[in-house]
Amino acid sequence: MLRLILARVVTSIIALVGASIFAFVILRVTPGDPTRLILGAFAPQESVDRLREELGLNLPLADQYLIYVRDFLAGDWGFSYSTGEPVATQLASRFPATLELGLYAFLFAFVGAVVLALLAAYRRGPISDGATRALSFFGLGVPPFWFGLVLMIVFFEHLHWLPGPDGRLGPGVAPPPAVTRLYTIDALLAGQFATFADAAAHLVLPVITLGLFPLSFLLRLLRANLLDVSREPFITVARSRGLSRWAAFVRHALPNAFLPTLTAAGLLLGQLLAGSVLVEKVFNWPGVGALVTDGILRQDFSVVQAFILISAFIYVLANLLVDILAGFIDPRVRHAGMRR
Amino acid sequence: MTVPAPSPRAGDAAPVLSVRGLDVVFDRRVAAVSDVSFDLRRGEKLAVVGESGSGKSTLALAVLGLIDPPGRVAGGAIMLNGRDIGRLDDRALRSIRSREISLIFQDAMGALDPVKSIGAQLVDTLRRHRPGVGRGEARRRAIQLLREVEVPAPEQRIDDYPHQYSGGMLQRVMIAIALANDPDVVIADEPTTALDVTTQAQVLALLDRIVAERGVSVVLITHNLGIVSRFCDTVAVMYAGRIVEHGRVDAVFAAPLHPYTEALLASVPRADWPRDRPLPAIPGFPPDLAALPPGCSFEPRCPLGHGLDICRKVVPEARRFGTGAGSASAECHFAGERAARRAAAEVPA
Repeated sequence: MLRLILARVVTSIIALVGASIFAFVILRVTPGDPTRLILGAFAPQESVDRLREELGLNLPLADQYLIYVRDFLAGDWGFSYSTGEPVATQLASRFPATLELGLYAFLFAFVGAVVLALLAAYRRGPISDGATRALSFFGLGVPPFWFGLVLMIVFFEHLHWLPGPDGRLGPGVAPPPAVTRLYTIDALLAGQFATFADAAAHLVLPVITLGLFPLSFLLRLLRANLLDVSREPFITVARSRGLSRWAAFVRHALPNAFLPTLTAAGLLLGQLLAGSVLVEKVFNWPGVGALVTDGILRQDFSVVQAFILISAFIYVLANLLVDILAGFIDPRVRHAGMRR
Repeated sequence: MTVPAPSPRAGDAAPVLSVRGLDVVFDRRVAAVSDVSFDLRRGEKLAVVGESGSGKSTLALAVLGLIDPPGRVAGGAIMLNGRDIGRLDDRALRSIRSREISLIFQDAMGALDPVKSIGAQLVDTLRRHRPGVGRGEARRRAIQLLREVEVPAPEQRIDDYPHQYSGGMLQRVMIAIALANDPDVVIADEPTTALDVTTQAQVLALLDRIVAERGVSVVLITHNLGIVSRFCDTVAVMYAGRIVEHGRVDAVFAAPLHPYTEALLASVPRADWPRDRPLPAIPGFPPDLAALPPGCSFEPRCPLGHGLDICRKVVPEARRFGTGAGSASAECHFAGERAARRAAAEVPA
């Protein structure tokens, strides 16, 4: 198991290096000049040249990359060319919002998918099959920004059950003391239950909007896997040992059906944590989405690069987690490469 | 292995398992098992033989109450220790499985959950039926069971997973699981089909020893007639969901009453068969269970009755022939004739 984890960590680092090189090169070779962005279109050529020298833009690409990596590891993520703010500060103020939304959306999708898939595969019949199929087609097909708007019209405008698009907290509610920067958790840690309720209420609609697609995706996958596995002989044998059909389903079919789903779940987790520009836009969520799209449009190298690296890191971490979890569930994964 | 002597208890006591007129249907029309009746006495080893699709495995699952929709038991009674288990609810059935009747599956590799250790699956089986037994006690008992089925170094192997076992060892584990709660009846569905010949013999010898020691009755489902003659006391031949012949193995094999049994026996490859002669095979294919012939199901392939009016139109009833150890029953219009001829041949001139 330890060897598996070590091997996984090594490949993860390689993936991260690859991602950083890719992000670095692709942004450098796209047309446009960041010095012009900083100095403006009418700055004299001498100042532009001087700035290029200062920023190291005249060095060979490989040297630029090495300097970038060195600084990045030292915590110096550079400055936004457009706002002059340190990139680390910018991202630190935005990422927790995206992270909180993504985490809850994933939890919603994952738990929902497991529960619904278990029920749908256990109680087969025209109604349960049809309902599952309808839900997953809807979830996979509907555009999230539209679905978010509809949810808001129903639950905010008409029913007044949930708050509207005012970000993470209602107006006049102060953020809880920062520990994790996830408001729900920080509020609970500080014992501010009113703040917690407000933060949670603000999360409901964006979480459902963002989580619907991964929920439907995982539901379809897990249900199909469950139906496959439930036809395996060991399910019949488990029942012949005295297990009820439900017990055989939960204890033997679910863990086996879970494995192929886990890989997909890891990818989805990465995707959710890296943020969704459109859903954040609809709910005025102060996440990293807008920051990055603006960065791309303005050729703000440092912002975009840092974001790509962080996203890559999250992806790699999520997949590492999945691999380790798969090793815990499946002894065949755990023993891979080991001799018996 | 020698032909087992009849167990002293066999034959006299009331049957442990008695199946009467069992019908299993799928999708309303397809009769996978129809009008099957047989008795199983304590210590008796009954073979159920037949081609693939003849309803053997469905019969096994039906007796365990494990037929899932769209299949269902449409009629008949399954009396286990004097109780009709066909009428029990799921909870009651669950407590009977493994404690009174258990299953050994054909493909041991697929019969155990690949993500749970051997020990976990054994301990779960034990504790499920004895809630008072603690984990440590159940584990000791599991190791003892593994030792009994001759798994080497059971103290270490108990924590291994199915993929770390060989096929033969897994089948031993299956036997241990099936016998964990001392059932009265074990249904073994092609227990050695997936194994190579040497391992097959070892596993069968093991099963033979253990059931003899414990006085367990066995229903052995197989298409290997060699195994039947070595291992079993009685044999039921299934064709298209019906038991077409049923009797003592030696009697049935010596003088089959049903032409299907005869054809089945003739198609067993023999070492002394001339190399240049093709092996005899039964012509045609088993019938489609959804569209059975109106008369005898075997009529289209039967060397005796093919084309005869009575065979085409009338379903033959099961009739008993002979008395005592040599008695057998068969569902064939010609069985009486054949039985009489056999009896005549046996009378010394």
